[in-house]
Amino acid sequence: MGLEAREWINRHLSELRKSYPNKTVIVCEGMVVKALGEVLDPVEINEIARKLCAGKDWSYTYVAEQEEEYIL
Amino acid sequence: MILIDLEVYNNVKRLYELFEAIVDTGATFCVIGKHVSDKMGLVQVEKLHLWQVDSPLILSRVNLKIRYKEGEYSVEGVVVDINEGYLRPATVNEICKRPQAPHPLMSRIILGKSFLDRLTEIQRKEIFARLS
Repeated sequence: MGLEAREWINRHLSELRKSYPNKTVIVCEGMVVKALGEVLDPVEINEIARKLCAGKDWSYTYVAEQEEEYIL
Repeated sequence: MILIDLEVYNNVKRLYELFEAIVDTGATFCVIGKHVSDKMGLVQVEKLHLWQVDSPLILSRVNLKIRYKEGEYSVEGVVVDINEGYLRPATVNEICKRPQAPHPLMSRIILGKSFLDRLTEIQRKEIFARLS
């Protein structure tokens, strides 16, 4: 499960917001391995990530530019 | 906002899928979007009435098989049917002044008390430490 990749995302979220606004990024081994322009659901993301990061620790996030300000 | 990773069992593919999860201590249940729940073959059971900000919200109960770190949990969740138009970014012509980003449940799950209560105190502290 993406424990290290998740830590990496959480540490680099502010940089990701600048580099990949409004994109879904897949992270593996401390780097973004794919930035997806379209919005995908978790099942679709898992299908892509399994091919790109087979057997490795990976994670994903949707990098919303402003999202956190709008969640109740 | 606290974001963690966990896995949710997909009944159709018969495997666990990685989910980005929003930890929400104010939520009683875990929440999954219907667009994902249907795809994963999660069986909805009875309806449930919950309070949201200003009115009751009627949702369906669902049982979620969740894997987090070394643990496997059977957790009560609810399925929310999100308007299809909110599952994509806003367009410039939209009348409603919605946030530009798609609905957070498009690509995430909400982890409520039904999951957090199953963790050990140490695990909960580890999660909440992310706020500091």
